Amino acid sequence: MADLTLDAVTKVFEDGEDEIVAVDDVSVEIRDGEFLVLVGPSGCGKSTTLRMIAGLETITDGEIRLGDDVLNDVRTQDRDIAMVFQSYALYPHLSARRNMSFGLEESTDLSQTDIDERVTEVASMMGISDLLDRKPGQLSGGQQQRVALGRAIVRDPEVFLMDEPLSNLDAKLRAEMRTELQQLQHQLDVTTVYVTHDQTEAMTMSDRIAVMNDGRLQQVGPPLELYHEPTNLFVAEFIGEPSMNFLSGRREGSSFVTDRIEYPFSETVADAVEDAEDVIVGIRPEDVAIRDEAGDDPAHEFEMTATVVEPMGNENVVHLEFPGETTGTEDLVAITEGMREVGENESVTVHLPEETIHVFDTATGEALHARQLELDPQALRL
Amino acid sequence: MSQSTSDSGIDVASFVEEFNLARIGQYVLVILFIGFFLAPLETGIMTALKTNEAVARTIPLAPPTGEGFTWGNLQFALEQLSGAFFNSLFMAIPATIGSVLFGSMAAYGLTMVRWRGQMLFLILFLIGIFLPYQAVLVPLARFWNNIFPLASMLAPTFETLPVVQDFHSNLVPLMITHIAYGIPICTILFRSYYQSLPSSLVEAAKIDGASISKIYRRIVLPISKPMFGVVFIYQFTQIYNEFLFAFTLITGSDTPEAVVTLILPAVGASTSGIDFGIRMSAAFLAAIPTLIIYVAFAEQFAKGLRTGGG
Repeated sequence: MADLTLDAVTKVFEDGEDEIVAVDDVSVEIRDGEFLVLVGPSGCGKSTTLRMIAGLETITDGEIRLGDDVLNDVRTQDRDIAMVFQSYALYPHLSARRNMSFGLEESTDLSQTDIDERVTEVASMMGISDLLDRKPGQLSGGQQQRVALGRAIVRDPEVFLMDEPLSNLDAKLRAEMRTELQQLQHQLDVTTVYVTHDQTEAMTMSDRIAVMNDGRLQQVGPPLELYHEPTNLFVAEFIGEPSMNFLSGRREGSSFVTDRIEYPFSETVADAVEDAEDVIVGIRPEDVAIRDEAGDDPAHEFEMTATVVEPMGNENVVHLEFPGETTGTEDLVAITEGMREVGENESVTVHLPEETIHVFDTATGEALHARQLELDPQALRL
Repeated sequence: MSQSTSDSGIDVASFVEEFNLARIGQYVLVILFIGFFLAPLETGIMTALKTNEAVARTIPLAPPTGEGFTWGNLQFALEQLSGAFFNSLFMAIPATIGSVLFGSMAAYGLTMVRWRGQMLFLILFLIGIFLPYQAVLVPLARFWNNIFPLASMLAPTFETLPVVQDFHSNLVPLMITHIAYGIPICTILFRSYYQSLPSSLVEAAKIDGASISKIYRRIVLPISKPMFGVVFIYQFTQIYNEFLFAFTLITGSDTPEAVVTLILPAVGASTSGIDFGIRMSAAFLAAIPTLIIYVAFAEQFAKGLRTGGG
């Protein structure tokens, strides 16, 4: 067992004259037994990164190490890894049993009896014992998914690689598999790199998340750290559903000013912002508080109109607009508890608590200030 | 009441009328085409079963009657062709298997394995398809006769083998020639099939630790079974029916190693004219092996065409 290290890994695809940088200088260390989720929008280079770890793509620059061994020039066949594909990539002409035993037959010297034993054991762990003699075409999507996972597990590799393995399942099954996969990973304690574009999967399953965009690593950290202390606008927007609200404007003195509002900064925030001119203020929807009447923090309270209310049962998603000319786009999204009634076109008082705001530099997108947490920072690293 | 009945009457009538016209047109066309395509076959079979006299007296399409019917033509043709049948199959079956197998391997190497200079090789294969046979006939004959006389080298070995005679060694150069010239087209056919397969299959096998050759043997080869059906039928028909190479590499129709296509033009011809009954019998018999292949591989063929995309 060993750590998997990506050291300044770069991938450049050559397309005729053009050079396309798919992965740009990505460095991350995945500790032994850790579950790291690589997340980002499509085309951000996360799959390419995974394929470089697998050896399916060559590495243009940088180094990938497993323990102390440099993997760059090791053939895919000789890397001790197993991968689960989005399409499952089960061999259509082989039974589930043969699909699972194929890797052991090819990569180990185990006897057929030992192989059969291991396949049977993993199959019962995955709950597919009675499906072993069927071919992939006779299995449902969820069952194929289990066989594909079983095929990876039976190999007992140093590293699991998973390329959006749940995205072909329906929503209910996906949620089930999410929990199950997480338990399996804990149980097996195998270093896992999991690629997804779904931030829910990233938040719920990972020990740490690595957010990528445009081939660059944006931030690596435990899920809650990314949620509460995003280092830039991209991470702030990508993590969280519905995503963080952003108000762009200027800093004037120690206040934040947009066309509609003036929002005074406290000393702490003002110090963090320093002399940045154009800034963006971000606030999570659940931190936007809707009040019936003015509260005790008038400087941070605003009159707004609820334009659309989406009841979810446990909560309501309320779209809010500042008074004045309607721009057609809502200005803020708030989440209130499900029992609180807000009528559409109702005028409400909205409280934006100062301790919950994030401030970003408009030009660079870098975070200047993150929300204050009552939480002990250690608690973030659950 | 009366209004409604007359309405529905008109509706049904117009519907039936349209329906019939289209249907009748379709059937007439279908029957015409069936007749057009089947008439020569019918003529051939009927002529094969007629005596010489009946051929002269009756119209070609009519079946033989009474005195005019005979099995003699078929019997005679079979005697004439039996040796050639063996020669043709002895040459065509290994040649087909060889070119299909090598074609599939080449396509795998050119499609599913990545290496430098791949494109150059693909272009070479493409050129191979468009190489006119006539242009290579003379060099080919010189190669097999003077530079590398494989047939005479193998003759002593063939003499000691059971079933085959020493002269059968003359078929080996023809067999190898067919394999060589069949590879390009087989490669292209397999290539389009392999391109349609998901690349993750090969990647999964790689991650499972299988080598390039193992991936071919254990994954790609079994998956391409339907395509093998298609290419096998196509290639067998090509090689079995081929005349130009056979004519160049085998000395003539009177030699014992002559293949069916060489003998066929000579069967039934004599100084007194052409015996059409015998000739048709021979043609009919010569077509049987390809028909058997089509029937035997029909299921694979249909599957391959469906999934082939090529």
